Amino acid sequence: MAQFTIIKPNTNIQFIAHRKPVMIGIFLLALVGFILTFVIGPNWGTSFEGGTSITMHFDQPVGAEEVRKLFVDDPRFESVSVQSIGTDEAKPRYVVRTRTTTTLKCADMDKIHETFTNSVVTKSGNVLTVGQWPACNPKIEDGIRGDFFVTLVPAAGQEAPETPMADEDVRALLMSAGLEAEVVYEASLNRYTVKPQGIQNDVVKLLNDTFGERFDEATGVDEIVTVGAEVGDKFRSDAIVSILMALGLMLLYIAIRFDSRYAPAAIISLAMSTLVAWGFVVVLGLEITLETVAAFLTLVGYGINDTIVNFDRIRENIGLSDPKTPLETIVNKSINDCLSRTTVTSATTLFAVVPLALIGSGTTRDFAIIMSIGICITTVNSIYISCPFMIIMDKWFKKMNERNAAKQEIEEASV
Amino acid sequence: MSRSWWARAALLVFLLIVSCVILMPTVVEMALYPESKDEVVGQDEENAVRNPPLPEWYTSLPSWLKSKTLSLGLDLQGGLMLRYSVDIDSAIDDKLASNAANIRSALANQGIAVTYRVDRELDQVALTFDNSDDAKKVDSKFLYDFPMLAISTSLDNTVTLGLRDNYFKESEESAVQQAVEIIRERIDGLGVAQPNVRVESGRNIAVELPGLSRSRVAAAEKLISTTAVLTFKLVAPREENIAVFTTLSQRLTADDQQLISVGGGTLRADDIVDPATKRVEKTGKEILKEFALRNEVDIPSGREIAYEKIDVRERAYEVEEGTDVSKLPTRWRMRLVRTDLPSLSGENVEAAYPASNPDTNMPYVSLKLDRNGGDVFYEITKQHVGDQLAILMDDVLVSDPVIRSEIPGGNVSIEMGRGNRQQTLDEVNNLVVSLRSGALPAPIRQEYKTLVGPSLGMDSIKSGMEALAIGFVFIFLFMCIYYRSSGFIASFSLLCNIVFIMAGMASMGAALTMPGIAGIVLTIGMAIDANIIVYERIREELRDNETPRKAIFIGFHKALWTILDSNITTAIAAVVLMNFASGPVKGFAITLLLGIISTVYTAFYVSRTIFELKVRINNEKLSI
Repeated sequence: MAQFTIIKPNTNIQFIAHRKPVMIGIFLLALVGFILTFVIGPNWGTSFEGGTSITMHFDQPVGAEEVRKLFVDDPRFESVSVQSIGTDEAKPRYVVRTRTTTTLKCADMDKIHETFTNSVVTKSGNVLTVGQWPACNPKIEDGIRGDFFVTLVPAAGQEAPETPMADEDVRALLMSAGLEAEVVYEASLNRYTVKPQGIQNDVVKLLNDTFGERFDEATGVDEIVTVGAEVGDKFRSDAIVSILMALGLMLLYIAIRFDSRYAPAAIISLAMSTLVAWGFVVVLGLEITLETVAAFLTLVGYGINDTIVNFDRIRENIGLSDPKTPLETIVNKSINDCLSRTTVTSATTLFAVVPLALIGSGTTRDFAIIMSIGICITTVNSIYISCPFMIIMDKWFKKMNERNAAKQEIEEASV
Repeated sequence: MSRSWWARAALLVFLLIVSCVILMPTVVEMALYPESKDEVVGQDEENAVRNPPLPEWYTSLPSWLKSKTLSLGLDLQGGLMLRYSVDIDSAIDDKLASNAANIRSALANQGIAVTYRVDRELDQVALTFDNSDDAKKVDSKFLYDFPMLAISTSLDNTVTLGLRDNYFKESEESAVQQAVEIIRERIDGLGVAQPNVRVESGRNIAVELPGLSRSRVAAAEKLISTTAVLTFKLVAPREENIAVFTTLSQRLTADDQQLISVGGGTLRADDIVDPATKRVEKTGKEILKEFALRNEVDIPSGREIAYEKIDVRERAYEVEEGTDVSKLPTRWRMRLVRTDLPSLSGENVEAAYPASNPDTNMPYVSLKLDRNGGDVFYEITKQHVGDQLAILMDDVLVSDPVIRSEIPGGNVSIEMGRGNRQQTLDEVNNLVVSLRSGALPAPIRQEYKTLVGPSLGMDSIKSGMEALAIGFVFIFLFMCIYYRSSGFIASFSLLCNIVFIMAGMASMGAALTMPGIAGIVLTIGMAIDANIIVYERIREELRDNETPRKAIFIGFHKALWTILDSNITTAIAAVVLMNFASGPVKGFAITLLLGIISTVYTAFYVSRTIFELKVRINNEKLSI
């Protein structure tokens, strides 16, 4: 029985002979991907930039514009963006992202400070004033992020009370100054930790007041993610380090399993794939989340498979063929040998991932989109970048060897 | 047929049966209660009653068969996920500053004037003296009282002190460990099923509270992030304990069923645990505390109640032989503690480390107090020989050593009670952690917070599973058309693959997260690659006119390293991701890794075993 094939046996497409235009094309795409990072700028998600992201759904149709206007017009929320992630029009779902993590502003803090400086009187009649008060950090947009510490010390000429003020009393004081917060006294440090009620309550209240019937107070908010700005920076550098680390480890593995001609070629190919996929992420404006990093790491790990299959075949064919055959011919034959597998595998992997890109939602959908794009690119790169670079590296090594040999000869001659 | 074939076939059947058994409870749960997870938030108590009831054949199965269900990750079932970082730097800075001040006063006692400067960046104290002779006074003998410091440079009339080697690391480890311990204890009372607290990396602590409703988030956060305080007090004398608790046990009412009075010396209570969900509804400590609060009048002035966990080893006698005491609910008891004496706190602790008695080889805790603390401690121990010291973390009694004799100089040895060497060693290490972290009360800072509502997850699961099914059907059809019956074999091994991954996750106790579902989808696409590599090879060999049996052998043989190479590189990426990621994304890395392992297995054993069987039955014919 005849085999069903897409790529016929003994296909011999001249990939290596016609490599230049495709290589240049891929390089340009990668370059564009790199430049776009600075021109358009990636859409850093909450995890990387700090801030709050709120996912919500409504029980009745609500337009994206309606949600956007609500949050943009509210001065409490800074740099707001709204994205629809739902698939069901009747139950729309949105993600609202803002740089704000607490609605507490420096101006409010000053007002609260004043209340504390003037009128703290304990039950035993001691007059206290503020010792330590948090400094407002201009870096985080004129606001306070998260918890802060306050200490109370005796006012001038006053004696210290026997027992410190109760948490509840400090809490009531803050409340009277307009700040709703949990207060905890830490005896060993003689200070109060103030934990302002996060942004979540404000958001729920705002949505409930505005949309009434259409928003369910109990279940309407799907997810609230709050990330401190410093953590975002850390995540970002961790992400870059881990992708570089994955590349480096693979370089090492291939160098051990094959030889030094193959490893750099594979890494250049992977780097190109990553940059091109990154370009797409930037152009499509996909949010950069922790899942995105996962997608890129998977891309690096999976994308190298095509290259390895080709390299394996090149190595095998070098062993089988006449030593005089030019490397180009062997490489081209090897690519053609593997072509059927390369196409079929890419197709089946796309079968798995594309449905997820079409019906998935939110970050999972972005993940599937990146993987789909990445699979196509790495397939092309395994042929047009990995293999040609392997030939280039081979030539370079040969040249180095010749040069070294020549040098040695000269040295030997001079001795 | 060869013996190795039978062995392989038997292993496959065995693994499939094991996997199916592991997955059975999960399937039963999902089939009977598809919507139950939807209701998690807001109905914490009603979960025990199940409607419809579990089928009889299922309930009659032994419980070890039902212990592992593939649980849903926080992103799928809703709840609160928090990440904290232990701020050890500011704690060390504070300690450094107080040490510097103490050094100045210690030197002032010797009539030496010194000015000091604390460098918070480098964690150093620079001392400047009037002349170089004075500077020589600060030597290792002088620093004996300040064990956190060591001389880093000494030049003319200035001496720079830095942190002792390992001090930072020791303190950090203790602070993180203690914080995890304390958070675990505190969230026990929140009534959340399977709360999870773990050290994420270095000084990061992740806390997961599945199913916690939004209205209780603030309370949970407050509970978690309060820094615990270490104090040293005295346990009230035995007669007094008996007197007070005898009075208190007379106050027990019908509502206090959970409180047990034994021998009048104390009152105790067990954690209330829901047998079905294993969730702690209320801790014994909370029960005792509520009771104590109601009967505050009976507690004499200058005394307070502390709470102590009862060692499970002490309970072995009261249960049937063979019962696993470690599975019993935690039991708490009350202790009366004196507050009318000068007390010491964590800031008086300079150092604590495990030591070992050279004669008996038994481990003990060596504790060094600062000068003030040492003086106070001397006074207390002189007057209370025979009494018990109470070492408290907040209101929990962590250790109650007996004072054998007066202790001058602030060097304290705390010996543990009975028990074998290993148990004593564990106790010693636990106490050292408490003391060290108490000496440096490091606040924890919230870095990351995710609150997931109940409905997002259900939608995600639905779309994820749909995508998984569609992808599988597409691949199945394609493989069957392209490789005919061999494609069917590949699809079967793919199915085995999915079962193995799920079973692997369930047995590891890993939760299914949304990225995890994406990982399974991706694995399906990648797993089929291994089959394709082999099939293409077999086709090539058949074209070279090899017999089917030989073609299969060569095909699998030649493809082995190609498949291993490509999967190992993917595994490298997965391992790197595992180190980077936390929470749901880590679930993705785990599924990816499991997928890789099971891909290599299914490709080489499952497909191959079926292939060889088929070729033999079909009389050396192969449709590929």
